[in-house]
Amino acid sequence: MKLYSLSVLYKRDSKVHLLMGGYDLQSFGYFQRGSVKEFMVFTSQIIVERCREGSRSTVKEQEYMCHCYIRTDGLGGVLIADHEYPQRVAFTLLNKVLDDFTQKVPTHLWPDGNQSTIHYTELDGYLAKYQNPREADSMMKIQSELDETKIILHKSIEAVLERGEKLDDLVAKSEDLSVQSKTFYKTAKKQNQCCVIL
Amino acid sequence: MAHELAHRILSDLSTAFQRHPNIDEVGFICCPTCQHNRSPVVVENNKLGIETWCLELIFPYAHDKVLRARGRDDSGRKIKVSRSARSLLEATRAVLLVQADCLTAWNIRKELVEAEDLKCTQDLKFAALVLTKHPKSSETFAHRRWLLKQIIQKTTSTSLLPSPIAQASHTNGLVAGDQASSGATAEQPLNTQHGTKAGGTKLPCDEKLLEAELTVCQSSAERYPSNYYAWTHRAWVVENVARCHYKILMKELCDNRHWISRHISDHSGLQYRQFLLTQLATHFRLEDALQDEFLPVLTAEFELLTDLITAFPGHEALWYHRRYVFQQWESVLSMFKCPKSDNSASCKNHTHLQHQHCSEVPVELYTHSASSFSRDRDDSKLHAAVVQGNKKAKVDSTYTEHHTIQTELEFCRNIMATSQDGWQVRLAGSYQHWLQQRILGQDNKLL
Repeated sequence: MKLYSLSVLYKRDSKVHLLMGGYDLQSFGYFQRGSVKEFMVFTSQIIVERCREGSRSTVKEQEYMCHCYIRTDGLGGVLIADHEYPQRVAFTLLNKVLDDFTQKVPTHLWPDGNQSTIHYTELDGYLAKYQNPREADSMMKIQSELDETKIILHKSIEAVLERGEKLDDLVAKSEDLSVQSKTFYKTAKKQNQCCVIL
Repeated sequence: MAHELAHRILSDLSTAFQRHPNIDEVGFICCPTCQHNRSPVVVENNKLGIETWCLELIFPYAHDKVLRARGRDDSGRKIKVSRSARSLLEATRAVLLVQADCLTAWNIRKELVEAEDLKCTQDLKFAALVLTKHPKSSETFAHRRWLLKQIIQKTTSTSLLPSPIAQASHTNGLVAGDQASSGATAEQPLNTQHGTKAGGTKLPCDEKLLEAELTVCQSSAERYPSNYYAWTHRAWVVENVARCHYKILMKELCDNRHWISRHISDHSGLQYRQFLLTQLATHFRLEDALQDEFLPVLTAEFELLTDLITAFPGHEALWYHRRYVFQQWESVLSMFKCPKSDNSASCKNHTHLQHQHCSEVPVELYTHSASSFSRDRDDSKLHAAVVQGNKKAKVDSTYTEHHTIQTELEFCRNIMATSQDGWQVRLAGSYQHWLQQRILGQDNKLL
């Protein structure tokens, strides 16, 4: 039952950029961590780009679950977890993080913000605390809040892409991925390796 | 040219191990071409990284060396190839870091251990390193078992009071004979030395060795979900290194509880738990403490499962574990007399159980899920107890009312009525069906 990454992004006019990210990559091999982090950034971006404002979705990719909540004001959060982590707690956490971010980071900084300009250090703390979903105990009891909200489930990242778009092309074009990561992706795909994000 | 390069890279590897004796993890660095003419062997923070471009060079080179060390001539006789131990160690190490299941390489290392060119502890360390990259390599775990047997044999043969058992029984490749636990019997190679509560304070093995081995199992289980090999190896260690000592069983049960609460879908972790519970059942039966000690353990198990199933809906592994726990519960209760009461619902259920015990209930039914965990499990003893039932004590009525088929059916109904998770509802329905089949099965035996 693990959480791997928690990111806050901003979406406007179909353009998305990362404001801040927190990561827990201890469970990955030492030399894999760099690439894994890049893929998580890349995946979070792709999902927020292709999901609508005012929606909640979960994208399943191999044994990872990418939970995404984009508010109507364009502020979005993506939580990448494993398949054991309860979905309800994931979305409760996303709600909480976006509320907290709104309180602490002024709105005018969002449109042009990035990880170096935004000052918000809470994400690592949230990630660590919620590794054990029982930490959100009070939240696990208050489930009625989310009962009515629909969470769209996508069976894979490819399912989120637009018609004609190919994941391989997006990977090749991406500026977020290093050459090493792109090669990693290609080799892993060829070998049908498991336990690789994307 | 390629040979020279491969040879140089293998030397780099040796140097890396010499300079960094505490390397605890190995990984591959995705790098398709040689960069800047520098060595593909990288060490950072005691983590060893090997750039992938060199693998297709060093693996065939090293593997070839390994095969040639096992060369045979036309008549099938082994060709005596003089190879330095160092060269063999280097070659086998390179092969195994890439292909952990190469039995030939592990066997060469076994010979080196026997020739005392390699220490058991060193090879255990190396095997642990291999597991960081290949956490579900069955051959690596098998090799560890061989090494552990060597260590245990050496310890018992060099101690002051050689137990007569040590020389006598080597049945099933198990090493018996351990003076530390009193009252050891020679008939059964397995489960003989359940440390009794009275005289079982001293553990029958080197605690450090045991601890280290359990840590390796844990790391491998973390790296790969539902890691069957890691968990079966752990069960082997508890049986053969810790000799199923009561204290260790209880500690493992406790540690495992934390683990499965964080890995609720791990079937192998839960099957290991079933192994522990089965061993405890045998232990408590021998101690004649089933009612006082084991039923509370099972009660706690039910509570744990109810908690996890409701908190984390939709995980099949938990539901299957519940089936096992319920079967254990019923089988234990069947060994006791039913408390006298007429026409009460609980007694009706218990009558079922009594009849169940009287007929030949195949013990394999409830031990099926855990059967792969131990070849020589104590099924026969438990079965004997079930069909015997001569000295049947009375069981506390609170136990007979706590968990019955009816209460379990009620549990299913609750889940199905309140859960919003479709898969959870289906799992509850499946369990309900299984329970109903049990009732039918018992009814049929009554007829």
